[in-house]
Amino acid sequence: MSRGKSFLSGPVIVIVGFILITGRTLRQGTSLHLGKGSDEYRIEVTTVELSEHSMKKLGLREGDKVRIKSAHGSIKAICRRSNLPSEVAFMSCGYRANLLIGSDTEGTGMPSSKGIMVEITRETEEEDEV
Amino acid sequence: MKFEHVVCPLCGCLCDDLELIVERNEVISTKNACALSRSMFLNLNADLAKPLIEGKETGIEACVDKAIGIISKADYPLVYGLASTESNAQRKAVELAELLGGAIDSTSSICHGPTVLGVQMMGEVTCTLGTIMNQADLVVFWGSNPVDAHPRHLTRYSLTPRGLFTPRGRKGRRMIVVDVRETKSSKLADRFIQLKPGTDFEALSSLRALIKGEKIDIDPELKELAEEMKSCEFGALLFGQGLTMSNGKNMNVNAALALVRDLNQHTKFAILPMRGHYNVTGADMVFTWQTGYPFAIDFSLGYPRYGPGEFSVVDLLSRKEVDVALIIASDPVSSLPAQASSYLSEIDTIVIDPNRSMTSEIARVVIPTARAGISAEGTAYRMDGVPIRLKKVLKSPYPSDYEVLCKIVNGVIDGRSKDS
Repeated sequence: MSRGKSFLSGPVIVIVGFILITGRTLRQGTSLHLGKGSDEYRIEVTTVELSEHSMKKLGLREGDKVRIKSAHGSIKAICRRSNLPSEVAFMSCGYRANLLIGSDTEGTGMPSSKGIMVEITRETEEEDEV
Repeated sequence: MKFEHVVCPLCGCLCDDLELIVERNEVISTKNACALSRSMFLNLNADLAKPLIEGKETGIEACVDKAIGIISKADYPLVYGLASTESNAQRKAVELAELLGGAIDSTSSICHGPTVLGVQMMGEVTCTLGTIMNQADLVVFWGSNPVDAHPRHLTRYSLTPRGLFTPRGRKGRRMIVVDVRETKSSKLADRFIQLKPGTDFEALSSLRALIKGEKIDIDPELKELAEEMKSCEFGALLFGQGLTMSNGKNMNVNAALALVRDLNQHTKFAILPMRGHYNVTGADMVFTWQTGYPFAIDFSLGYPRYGPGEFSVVDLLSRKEVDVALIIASDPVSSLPAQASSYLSEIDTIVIDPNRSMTSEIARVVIPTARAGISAEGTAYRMDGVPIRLKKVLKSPYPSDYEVLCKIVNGVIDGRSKDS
């Protein structure tokens, strides 16, 4: 889905629905041992990967900040280009992505950590650090 | 000093051919270690835990006494974690949970818990990693990215090694990756099938129909995959959290288990989960010996009850059903959904861990320990269920997880004797 606001009523904000997949990355796994407070780890688990097509649609360049919202929470993230299907966004497992995941385990004990419906917009608030 | 044949206590591969050079009680170089393992060994002292009560540094004995005091008064405590420690500590943790009438769960419930549920329903056609190395001419990775998560799996067990019946190594083996996204692993594959997210169950069920000879209107790539699976000499389906965490969860695993069962009417085929933490398989094993159940176990009625979705960590915490949490070698604040983990800061949380973590930051008591497999010996279970003895290569000023848990168990028993 995609919708825009008239430039007459404020900045154009494009909202695109994505399926968020979380998973392991080598960088997350190696930086973990430097401590979860380390910059390397923090940046890796705060980065969302998007397809080139989606980044273009949202008017994003690598390193831009985005807002990701799910039914369970909202976070800021840094975007990175990746070879993904246009409807998919990917984040490393970690405390940031876990703010977007619900606690319903559907009787299995396992939360739904892959396939989360999210909305992603370009982040316009600049004051807070990601 | 040089240590040879060291077992890597990091992921479920439990590679046992590492060489470490240790100087002044510090690992200064590694050989045969993957990037993840090397980072762990070379940064062992990067973020060590300290003995803390209410955030103030104190002695370890005082921390253990405080933990005994808190846990003895608990109405319904949770014992959780245990995938990154050795099996004696896991055994002692079960004893403690039973003694306290609490609940016990391991990180299995948030990684391959649905696999366990699937196996309990369907059974599994399994084998060891050694069998895959020696016999498999087809390996299918489904929802798994070993290059990032298990970096040496391909070179030690599943893709490139030469075995008894696989003398040509990589040249004699086909690798197929089925995933929702392109990964470093899919780039190595002979065939990559990209699924739409949430369609694993449909794809697996379609493959079953094709293998049974049904004529269905389906993507030609799946038809070719079905033929390839049927015609191999020995195949292995290695699946990751792409199945267990996606829509369908244990039903996805059921479909994969059934597919492999069906394939055995045509050829030899086995299935193995790609387990993450190095001894999460051990947690399932030990819990099952001790209680009859592999995870999500409750002792509140005096006997073990099994309840994934009821006694599993995410459910217990999100429903705020426990009043004390004892976290062993795990970091649930970082790894659980925030809706569940936020409750840990509202209750008395005790952490037993060699390293500082996001959970130790909010814990009331932190008990640092000697890291199992590096500063303490023990046994761990590889992802295929093979037990491997862990070595001690460094000294630690702290006791092991097992020793701390023994002190807590004895402290609880002594406290009850005095009260009575």
